[in-house]
Amino acid sequence: MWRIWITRIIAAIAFIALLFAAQQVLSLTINDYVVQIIILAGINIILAVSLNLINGVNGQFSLGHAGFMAIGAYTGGVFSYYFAPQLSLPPSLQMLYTVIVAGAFAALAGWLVGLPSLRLRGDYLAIVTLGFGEITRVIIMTINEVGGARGMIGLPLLTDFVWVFGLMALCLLSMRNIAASALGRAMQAVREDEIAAEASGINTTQTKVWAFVISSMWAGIAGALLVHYNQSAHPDTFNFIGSVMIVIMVVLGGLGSITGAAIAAVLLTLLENLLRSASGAILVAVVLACCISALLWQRWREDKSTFAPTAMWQWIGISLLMLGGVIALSIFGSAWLATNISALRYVILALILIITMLLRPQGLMGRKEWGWHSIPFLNKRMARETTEFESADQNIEGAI
Amino acid sequence: MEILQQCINGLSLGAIYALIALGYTMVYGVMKLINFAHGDIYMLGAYAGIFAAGWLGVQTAITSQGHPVWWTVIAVFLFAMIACALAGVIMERCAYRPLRHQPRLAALITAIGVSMLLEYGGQAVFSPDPRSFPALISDVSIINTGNFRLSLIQVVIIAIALILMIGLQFIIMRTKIGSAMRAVSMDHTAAVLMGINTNAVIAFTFAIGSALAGAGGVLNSIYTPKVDPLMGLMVGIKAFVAAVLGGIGSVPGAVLGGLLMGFAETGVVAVGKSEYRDAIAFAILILVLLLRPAGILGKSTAEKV
Repeated sequence: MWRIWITRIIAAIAFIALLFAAQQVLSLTINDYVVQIIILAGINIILAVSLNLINGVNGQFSLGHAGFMAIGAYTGGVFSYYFAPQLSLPPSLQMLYTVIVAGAFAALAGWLVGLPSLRLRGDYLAIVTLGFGEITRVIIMTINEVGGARGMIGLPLLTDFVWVFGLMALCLLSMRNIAASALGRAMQAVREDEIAAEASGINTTQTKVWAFVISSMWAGIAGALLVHYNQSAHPDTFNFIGSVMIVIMVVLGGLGSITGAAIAAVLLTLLENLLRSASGAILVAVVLACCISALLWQRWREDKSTFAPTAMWQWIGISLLMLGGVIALSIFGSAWLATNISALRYVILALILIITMLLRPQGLMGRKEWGWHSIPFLNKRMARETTEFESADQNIEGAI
Repeated sequence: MEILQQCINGLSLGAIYALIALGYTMVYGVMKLINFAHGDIYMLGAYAGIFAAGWLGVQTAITSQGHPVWWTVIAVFLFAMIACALAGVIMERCAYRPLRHQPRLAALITAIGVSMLLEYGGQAVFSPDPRSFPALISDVSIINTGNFRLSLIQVVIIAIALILMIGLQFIIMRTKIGSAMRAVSMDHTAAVLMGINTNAVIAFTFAIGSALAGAGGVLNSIYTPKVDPLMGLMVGIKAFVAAVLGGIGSVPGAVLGGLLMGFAETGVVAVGKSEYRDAIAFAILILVLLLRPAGILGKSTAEKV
């Protein structure tokens, strides 16, 4: 037993050393803008993977992730702004305490929200969590000590590359282990059939509350990381669209897949930055049109009987229409694109959400995970076991 | 007198919420879907009203001696309602019908996407800056006793809402398509077996619900003449809360819930806590879901395996 722990501790130390080295290399070679995108991607990965625990693994539907994030961000901010200076701590310890405070308060909020919401399911839970997020924001806006509607400024810069990616790795690791634990299996059982799970002796209430507590704890930590990177906190960061963005990440990645959520989080961070210019928007539109065309093609190929000539013409028609649209947009619409880019960014993100649900509801990854076992020559026995497991998993897929 | 004034204000606001809540409750009845984009249909209705008023040449306060030109008012309402009905049918056909046999969560996620698409698409097309709605009905008082005032606008809002609700009640209770709607909301499969064209019924439900939301959009814009692409989000959520409060799926419940929401919101503003006027909706929602999840007029059903 102790041998495993020694290996784990060595691995952790090696990983942290690697992070410090990477930070040094990054600060020397890459400009600040790229580093900023990388750090935001790391924070988004924590958010998406943690929401995946509620929405993907446990099959509930939370629309208030930004609310938990806000609680972590503001409690962490209050701690580092009002209390930490009196303790005169070194920055790393200060950040550690901030993260712990943020995570603890957000977890408490998750428990408080999760407890009464258990009686609700599906769409009602979505609305209640949405309401919780909005109420949190309204309450924050009325508290003058944290800046009210103007936001809180002057927070210390505590977040750096090492903190974000160290905590991200911890988050991914914990989510992976939870999914494989008895609790994670119970969560999946609740997702598949709540009544059957209850009949099998699973305490469904407790399972759902645990999902909320763990997930909101990580959301709070991500919130604290974000505001101590921006050095300011603003209530509008944590609004309804903020929650929807995290939902888009989870849905695009595939509800229930940790790696899927992480990949989608990186993709959406990149996309948000691409969608700051008209040329980027046209590029995204081209890629999106190609994806729609390919997905439609695949959809009609799968069902041979309906792939009649009419469907073929439909496919050609839709593809040509999209092609024409993109060309027209790039020739005539670049001025309009440039002036309305901040709205069009969300239009494209909304289209991605709708198209994912209509044409590929399982998202990028379905419920599959990417890991060492995905590289066959690395661990043949492990790969064989997981493929068996995955094929069994695919049989029950289709619920989502 | 103060209380009576607040009651009148609450009644006119509540009538608007009730109109929008009717659409939520009808769609939930036939499809078991919370149509997140319903509030944005309301926004489209307000914009359709602006355009219709522009084409008809109604500028601010065109009426002489404060009398509204009734045919323009009716034309603006009809145009907004027809435009919204079309938008609702297109939305159902493109976004929700392909997901009819998928889990309910898939349709809900799509509805969130459609809502976001309409809001930010609206920003891109109509520009994000708020526009002012032309004064279709000028702001004259019918009764004014110093501390109590009943304006023509409030009377028109309550009257139009009442007419539309009576019309809806007639459609649902007395016509063939109405009884088909009730049949689909009772049992979808049985309705199919009885030879009801459920696709047509659901499309019709979307058309009616969206038309009511469009009318609500014009009414609210007459009341508070500021129109912007994101206006539907909060009102949509409040109307949804109204539908849940009255018992989702129940038509009289939606009206009752809408009126109660209107009174609650005016009450919060009257007490002087107007920064909480949006939060009160969620507080009511959470209380209802905890104390009586089926709503005031809804029937609680046991879950069957």
